[in-house]
Amino acid sequence: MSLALFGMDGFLLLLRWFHFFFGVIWIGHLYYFNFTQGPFFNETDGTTKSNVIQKLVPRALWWFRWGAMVTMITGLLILQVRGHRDGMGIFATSWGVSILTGAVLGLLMWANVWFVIWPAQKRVIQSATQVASGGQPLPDAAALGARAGVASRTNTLFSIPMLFFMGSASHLPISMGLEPSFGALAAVIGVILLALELNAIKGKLGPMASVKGVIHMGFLLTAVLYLAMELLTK
Amino acid sequence: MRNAALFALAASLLISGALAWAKKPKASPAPTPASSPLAKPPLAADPLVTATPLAPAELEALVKRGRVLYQTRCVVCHGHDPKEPGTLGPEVHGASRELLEARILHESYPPGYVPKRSTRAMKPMPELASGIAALHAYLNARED
Repeated sequence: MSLALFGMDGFLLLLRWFHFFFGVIWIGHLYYFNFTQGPFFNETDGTTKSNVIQKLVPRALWWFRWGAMVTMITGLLILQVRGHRDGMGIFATSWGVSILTGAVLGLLMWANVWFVIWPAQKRVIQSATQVASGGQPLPDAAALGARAGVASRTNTLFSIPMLFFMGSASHLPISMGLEPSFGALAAVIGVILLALELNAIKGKLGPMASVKGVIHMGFLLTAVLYLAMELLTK
Repeated sequence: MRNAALFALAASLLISGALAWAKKPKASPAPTPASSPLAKPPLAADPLVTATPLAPAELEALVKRGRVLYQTRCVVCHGHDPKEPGTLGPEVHGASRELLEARILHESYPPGYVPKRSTRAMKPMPELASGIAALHAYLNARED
């Protein structure tokens, strides 16, 4: 008896299963930080905040960053196996354009986690630990915490179109013209996302300061990217 | 604010439920085991085997079987409408029996056929062999 799971399709399915299982772990914690913990920190007292930073946040950050890591690795593996098995031409289809847009968003999010948010939060936790044992706070802790906040809000912003394009890849056929300008589309998407990523690293929260704001901006970004995709592939 | 949200949720659930109920197809006779979409059609119903065309009722049953197969096994790449390209695969309406067998069973094309794509994303699905007649009927069905 041959089991469907033991074949190439099965292998790809396992990769996908892990991709969205660890994706849920990652994005679940992202939304916890942005929608739940942030507003809580604004309301609570200093002692509670210090306790949470020392004992709750490190655990949450562990699941958050390793969820991100496995999600990223399985995602890249799926793309690589598909490209190798089915031919690189699949990336020049409606599926390819959608899934690559989602993948770029996901990669930027992964980079924000490992190279901005986690290094910054390590210092924030260390600072709170020092203060709790009677020492001095680290001088850069507050600024780093704020920077991590902008990066985290940007990840929330990116997650909304990312989920849209992951779903639309297989479920929303976008008609491709005879000579789609993939180069132009890549440039437009690249410029928009690069600008937003530079803001994450160096800029301000702007309309992302509130939970409602970042969600609205996420929908707006999705609409802009989707329209670019429709217009530039005809 | 919260009451408005709850009202909107309840209203949308009721409306979508009503729509689903309104669109429910007429109850069909209890299915026999042989009516599974992958059940081999009786020899007389296979259009390539018989010299005479199918009776309308038989053809309709075959088209219906083909639609079920298509909408569950093909749409993820070819899209809901076979006349339009899907997200990964080209339009497939009007596919010949030879083309369907070549693509579904042998990962190849009939001699002389010019492929619409140069990619190799479609892998053999030997479990669909007994459904090819139905798929062919569905993909070549005339509009009413």
